[in-house]
Amino acid sequence: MIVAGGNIYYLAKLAGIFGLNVQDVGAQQTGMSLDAFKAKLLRAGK
Amino acid sequence: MSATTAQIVGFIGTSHVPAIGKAIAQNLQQDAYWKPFFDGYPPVRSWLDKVAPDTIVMFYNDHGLKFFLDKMLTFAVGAAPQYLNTDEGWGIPSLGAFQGHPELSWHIIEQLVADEFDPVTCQEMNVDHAFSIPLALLYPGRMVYPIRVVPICINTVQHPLPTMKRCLALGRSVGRALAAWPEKSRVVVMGTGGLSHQLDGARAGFINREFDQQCLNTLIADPEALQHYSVHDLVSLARTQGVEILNWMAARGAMAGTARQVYRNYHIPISNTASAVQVLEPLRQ
Repeated sequence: MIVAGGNIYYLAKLAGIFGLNVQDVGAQQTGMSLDAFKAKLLRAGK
Repeated sequence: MSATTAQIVGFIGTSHVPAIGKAIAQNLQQDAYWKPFFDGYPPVRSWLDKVAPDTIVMFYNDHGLKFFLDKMLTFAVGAAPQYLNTDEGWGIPSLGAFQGHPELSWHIIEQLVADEFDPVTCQEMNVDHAFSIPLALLYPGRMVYPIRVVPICINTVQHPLPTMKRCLALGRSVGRALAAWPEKSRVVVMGTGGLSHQLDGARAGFINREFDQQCLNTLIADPEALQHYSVHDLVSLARTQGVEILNWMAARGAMAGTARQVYRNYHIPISNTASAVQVLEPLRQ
C-alpha cells in the first residue's frame, strides 16, 4: 500500500489494529529483521 | 514590552513520537532505553517554573485524528473552550483535556487573516499526540494542565506542504498578534515534531544528526537562514517525516528578534526518530 502511494500516517492506523508499531513497519520496508532495524537506529546514535 | 500586554517569555521545540505516550503510560521514564530522552525534561520544567507562563501557543501537525485525507488543511487555528486528547488507534490512554483561550484564538485568527493567511478555524478540535505528549512532558502526571492553550495545526503530513518561508511568516504573524494582545499574559510558543526520521520506504530508519544540529543551532538567532530549504530539500535532508521541523520554524517565527539558548537535549533514537528538546529565550533589542 505504501508503494501504491499510501501515506504512512494513515496506513499506520492499520498497523495499530494488527498490533504492529512503526519499527515493525520500518523493518518490513527495509527487508531487515526487527532486531537488525532497531540495531541500525541505535548505531545512528553512537 | 509593556507589562500590560502579552509577553512571549520563550520558545520550546520538542519531539512528539507516539511511543513516548506509551512509555509514559507504562512508567518507563527510568528504563535504560528511555532515560536519556526523559532526562531532557526536568531542566525544561525548572525553566518553566521560573518563567511561569499562563498560555501556550502550540504549532503542531495532526496525524489523522482531527483531519483525515477527506479534508486536509494547510493551516488551522483552534478556537474552542477545550481540546480533548483521544485515541488515535494505538490504544494509548488519553493525556486529558486542555483548556482553550477562545478570545486569544480569535485575536490571532483576525491578525492572520489581516496578514493574508487564510486559516481554517475550529470551534471543536480533538488534539493528537503531537499536541498532548509535549504538554505531558512539561506537566507530567496530570489530566488538568495549569495553562491555557491555542493550537495551530500545520499540514506536515500530506503533500503539498507549506514551505519553510511560509511557516516562518505564519509564526511572525502570530507574534504580531501576541504583541498586540491588550491583556497581561505570559506566553510560551511551542513547535513539535521531528527531528530527522523516516518511517516508510527503503530509507526507513535513516537519521541525519548533522542536519538536525545545524537546524537547532540556526534557529537560535537566525531562523531566516533556514527559509531557503524547500520541502523536497527537507525530505532529502531530514527525511520524509523530518519535515515536521516546519512546526518549529513557525513557533520560532512567533518569537521576534534574536534569542539565547537556555537548554537543549538531543538523543538518538526514540522509536525511528532523532529526538530533541530546545528552550530559547528572547533577547530584548
